[in-house]
Amino acid sequence: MRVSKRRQPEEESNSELQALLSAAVDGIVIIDPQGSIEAFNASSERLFGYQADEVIGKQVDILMPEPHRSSHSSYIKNFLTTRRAKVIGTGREVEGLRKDGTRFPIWLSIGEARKADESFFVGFIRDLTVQRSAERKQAELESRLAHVARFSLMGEMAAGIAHEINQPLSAIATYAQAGGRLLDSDNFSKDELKKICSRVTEQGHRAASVIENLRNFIRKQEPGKEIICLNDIIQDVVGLIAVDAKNADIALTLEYSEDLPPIYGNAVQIQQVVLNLTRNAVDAMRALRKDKREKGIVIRTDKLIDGGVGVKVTDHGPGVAKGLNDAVFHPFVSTKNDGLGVGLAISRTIVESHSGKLRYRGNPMGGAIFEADFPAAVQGANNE
Amino acid sequence: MSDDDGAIVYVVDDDEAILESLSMLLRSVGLECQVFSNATDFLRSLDPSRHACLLADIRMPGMSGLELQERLIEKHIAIPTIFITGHGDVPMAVGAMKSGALDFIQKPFRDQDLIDRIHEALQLDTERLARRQVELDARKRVASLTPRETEVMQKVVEGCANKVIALDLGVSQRTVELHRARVMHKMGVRSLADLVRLAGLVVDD
Repeated sequence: MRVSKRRQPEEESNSELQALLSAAVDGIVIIDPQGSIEAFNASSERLFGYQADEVIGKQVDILMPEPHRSSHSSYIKNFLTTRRAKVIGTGREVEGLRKDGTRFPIWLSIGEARKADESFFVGFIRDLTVQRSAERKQAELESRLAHVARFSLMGEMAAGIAHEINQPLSAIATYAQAGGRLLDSDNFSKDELKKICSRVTEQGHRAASVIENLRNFIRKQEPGKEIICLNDIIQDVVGLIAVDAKNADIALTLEYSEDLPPIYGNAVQIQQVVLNLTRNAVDAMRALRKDKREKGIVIRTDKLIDGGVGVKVTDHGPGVAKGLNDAVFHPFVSTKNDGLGVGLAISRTIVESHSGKLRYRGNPMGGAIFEADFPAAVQGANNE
Repeated sequence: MSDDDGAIVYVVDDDEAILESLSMLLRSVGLECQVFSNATDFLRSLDPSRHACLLADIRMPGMSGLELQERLIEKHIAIPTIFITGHGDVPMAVGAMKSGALDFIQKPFRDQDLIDRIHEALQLDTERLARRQVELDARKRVASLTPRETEVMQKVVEGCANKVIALDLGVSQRTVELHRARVMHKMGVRSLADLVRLAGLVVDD
């Protein structure tokens, strides 16, 4: 740790400053208004891999990658002429550049100090590498857990899906057998056989589309996010939801609000949340009398007052037992015999990783309402 | 299959493709059929006097196959029924069998199995029609009785002696004997046992 010669006249305060800089856990770099490094503490040496001797008197931009590197001197000039602070007085996440050329995430906050009518700047640097990698690891784990939960969700829906694939297959078998018998008899027309062939083709596609729906949903997905429209991604899984509801003879209503602002998110994960909510709704209503089942499940999207978007799944089942309320979101709390109890917990994790909220409230008409709200995507930015 | 001439197979299934392929298959072997996409429509156009059998999906939105079966039982239309079932529907199918369904057949099925079952069902239906004929005949005969004759018949069937009946109705024993003879004649029976059996067919409703 070294402090440059220009500050040496005040020996006393200098040694106090030395002590302070050496003791600091964060990296501290002091520069003059020209961007020249005046002090570089021990933590900075550790973070950037430079010895203080190597950098004192050099331009501070050697510590940052492009594009900041080229523009840094103009940042300082701008500030000194306009006094409009972008980083100074606050902090932001940026990248640092080590001596060996590698980049690493840092939290940089800069303070301005004045001495003898001259401004100089103190940068405090906190290494975010460990935090970022922990966050990345967590996101990866959550994504993997969500993937496993998607499989278990599909497992619960297997009977309905099997039925939905078996229908076209049975039709194909029956058409083909009818065709065979027509050929055996002498009493058939070419048109009739052509019709059978085209029906077999249609039904083949019908079976394939059920499987296609399934595959889209189960395929492993990177945790990446993009700009998406809530209505569109729900529409993509309506096929699966409808299979589930139909299998239990429960009515399903869709109410899409027009002109929803886009959101920034992971389509498959949000679809998983919706499917999980409808899956629960189907289970809640399965055993009910027909008149109740006819009231059905309503999936509704809305533009929210705060500018965000929400999807609401309403059922007419018995609702969540009093006293359980928020506990339904805790992992391994399940009211189903065959439930793992992770569906809602994972759903809430997913929604919260989208800066959203997943809530439960009782339906005044009897039943449950689950609402997932998401903030609108910031236009022209990727929300970073 | 000359036995099944004029017979009809009613097919009820909510899946359009299953319905169409079934009707093609049945027609390809010379069976006449009428198809319905839901049980309500079928009940509306069902003709109980026709020689027929029913092929119905067990799992349908709205009125399910089992509910349809209940309705038919309520209406005393014992049309032989074969249920079409999917993979997971076996418990339901067992219930249907207990309630008198002829059989159930799993999708996808072998055409010959289905056709055999249908012929069997139609064969069984000739017995239903014969019973139905006897019953209609009995109804007609009962309807031809005078109120007094009906009264006498009811007491005879309950096992009352002529003497008791005469006392109950306040007429002479000789008058009861005359009524009784006319009842036997109008009902077309020779023995008390036959009368009891025939009256039993009608009393139910």
